[in-house]
Amino acid sequence: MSRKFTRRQFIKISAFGIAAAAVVGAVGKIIYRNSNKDLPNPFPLTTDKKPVISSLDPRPLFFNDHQYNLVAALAALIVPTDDDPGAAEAGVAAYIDRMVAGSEEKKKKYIIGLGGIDNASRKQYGKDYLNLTAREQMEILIAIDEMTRPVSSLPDRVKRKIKLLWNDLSGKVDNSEFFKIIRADVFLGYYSNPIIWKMLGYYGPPQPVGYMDYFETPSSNNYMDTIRPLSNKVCQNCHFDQLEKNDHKEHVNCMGCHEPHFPLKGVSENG
Amino acid sequence: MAKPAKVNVCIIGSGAGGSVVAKELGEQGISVVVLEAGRRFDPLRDFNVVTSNDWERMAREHTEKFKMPKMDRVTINNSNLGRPMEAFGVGGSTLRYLAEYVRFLPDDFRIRTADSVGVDWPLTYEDLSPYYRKVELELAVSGKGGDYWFPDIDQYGNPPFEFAFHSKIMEKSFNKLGMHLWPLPVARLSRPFEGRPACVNCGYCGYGCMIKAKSSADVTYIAKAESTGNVEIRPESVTTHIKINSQGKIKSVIYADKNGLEHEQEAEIVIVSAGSIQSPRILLNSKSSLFPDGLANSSGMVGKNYMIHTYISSSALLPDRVDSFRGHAGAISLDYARTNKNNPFARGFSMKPKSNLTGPAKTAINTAGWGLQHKDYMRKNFGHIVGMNAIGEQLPEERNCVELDPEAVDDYGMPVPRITFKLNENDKLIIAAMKKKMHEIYSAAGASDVEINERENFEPAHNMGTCRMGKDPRTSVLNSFCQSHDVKELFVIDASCFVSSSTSNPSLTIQAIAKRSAEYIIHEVKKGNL
Repeated sequence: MSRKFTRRQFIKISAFGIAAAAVVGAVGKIIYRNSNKDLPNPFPLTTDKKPVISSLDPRPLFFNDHQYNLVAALAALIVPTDDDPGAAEAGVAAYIDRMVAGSEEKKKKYIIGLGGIDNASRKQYGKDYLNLTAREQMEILIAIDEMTRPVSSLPDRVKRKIKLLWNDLSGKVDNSEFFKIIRADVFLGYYSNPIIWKMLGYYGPPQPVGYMDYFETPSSNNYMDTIRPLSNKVCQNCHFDQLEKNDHKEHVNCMGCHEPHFPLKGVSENG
Repeated sequence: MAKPAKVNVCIIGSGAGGSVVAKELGEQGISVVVLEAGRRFDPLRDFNVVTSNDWERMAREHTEKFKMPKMDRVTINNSNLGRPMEAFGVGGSTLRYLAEYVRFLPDDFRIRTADSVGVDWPLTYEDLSPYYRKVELELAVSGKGGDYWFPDIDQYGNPPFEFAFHSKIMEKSFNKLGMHLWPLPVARLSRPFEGRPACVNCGYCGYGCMIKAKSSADVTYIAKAESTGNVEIRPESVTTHIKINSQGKIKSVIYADKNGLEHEQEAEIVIVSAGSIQSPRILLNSKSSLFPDGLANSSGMVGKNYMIHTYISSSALLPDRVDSFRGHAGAISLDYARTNKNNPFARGFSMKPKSNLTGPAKTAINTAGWGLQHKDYMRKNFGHIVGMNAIGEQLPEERNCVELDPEAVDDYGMPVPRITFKLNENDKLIIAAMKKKMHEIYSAAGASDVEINERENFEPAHNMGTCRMGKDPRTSVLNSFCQSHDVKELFVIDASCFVSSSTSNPSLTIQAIAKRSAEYIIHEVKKGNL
């Protein structure tokens, strides 16, 4: 029952705002139910169960436990788990933790941003975000996301203005900038994990091996196992110095001349 | 002020133009110093960007490498223009180019005669054709001979790349509209050549080629120039002005090294190849009693007639999966590049199918939404995205110009360039026609979700025309050999010399012109005229 979902429709949908946010949890894959106002629901929930934070996650480098769990919870809502792995399985919280630890600018933004999420949650429900039910968590995110949408028409701009004014008066925090940041970072973390590539039929980074099948019909046979040979030796054919990076199987084609390269010995396999 | 030993020729800039001249002169035993503002890159280390699993995050910061924070300032004086792109480093903008080596069409050199717009070039396609050929063979350009638009090209240096899978799909809809696609000639190697490997079609030419399969100037002409032993490349040397003596002859070039110390490089001949923004800037900043308005500027045309390409990109979703993230599209249509009497405008545009080179993370970020619906969207549509881009010819106008900003200076104390630019009516009509044609092609392909870049301000990668050549010294800066009308030891060899912008990417034409000019310089030097 999946719907087509375009940017324009999205803007149209989100203009209706929170009215569309009446969400009913459903078990299984994707079930959409229209709200009373007969509006499509843009963010269906799969389940009322909250994401499980894996105990296998390494100790956070930068976040404290509360912040780490909060990032994990937000990530699991931004990319939920269904038949395919979600942000929780892809270790997105750990990825973001590492990323933030390396950037002073991000550190500031995350500390303020995560605090803002908790503030919004306390204002609305009197509880920390992590203590909310999944549906309440979702509603907060939907309300924040609504404010990130660009609006162009005059009535929409007026509505936005009123909404912002109302937020100001009622003491709500504007988390929309932070939501943009964490949404992008979650996607970066999620889609850079090879366990996700299979779901998309993606073969991995462009370099160093490129896409030598670019003229052929796309096929899952091209999946990265077969097309990512790498070697750390110089080719006997064309003397091209293969990169020092690592992982590959036995039969390797030279990155320079694409002729079969000698099999390598004693190189440890990776993934 | 330090004074390095005097040389025969000093070249400012090591991009498409400067590198060719350096190699040609070096091979003739002429001593050459090349002053390059940017640093020297080691491809394997510095361009190793799109190799890790989260390459999309790394890639974001990478293009900063090609900027010069100390001089990366431009004043934009008018609408229709964003920040023009420039790349600093040994190899210049060829480090970042996509190496699309399409010649200019014969008509592009005589737009006044053929279409009553702009000005004719002082040279013709026939004059340039042998030099085009030399460059194409020297760089082993990959392309297919017998071209519909260039029947005189029988063969390129390397066989062509095949059309990408999605280009084959799009070709059908081009054909439905009576257009046709031809393999795009590219300075990427389809077979190993001179110790460099074949291109693996990763698609990320714009970040610098890690494996040296792209024939950027640094791994081709600069490497050959240095191997002659007569050419010294001096990176991180920012030229501020050129000095002349009281007879109006070239004396020296003043530049600052990376520590900000001034040097004076004496030379008999100076060749400015710093690109169409920096070249006029250096000339205008070289004021003297003989040239109070800037060196070689008796015509007042230095910096005038700044041209860009009106570049429109677009994307859409195809019904079937094509996986267009796999490298380059490899096709071009010049069907609308020439003036058509049925059109309300003169000149035209070139069109190319384009790959959607963003990986899944950027695709996700650029698409609205999150949650399960987002995940569904990605599963359904990732791999269905295709693109198309079009380059419109932009006609020269005297009011579009590069000047010196009277107020702002950069860290070297040099006035920053101030660019005034506005599209004219003809340009706007071409842009509208390009968008219309894109819609037609997409709908012939049954594509949905067509997004055409509606941006008003262009961020041009192709800057051209600011020291144009011509026969009349009163209306042009250079003669057809890129030699200044005013100072005969001064040459400007880069896209500044262009008289019209064509719809083709400029690098090949810059290099062909550079080859022709270098031949002229060698000839004149041997005759003792220079």
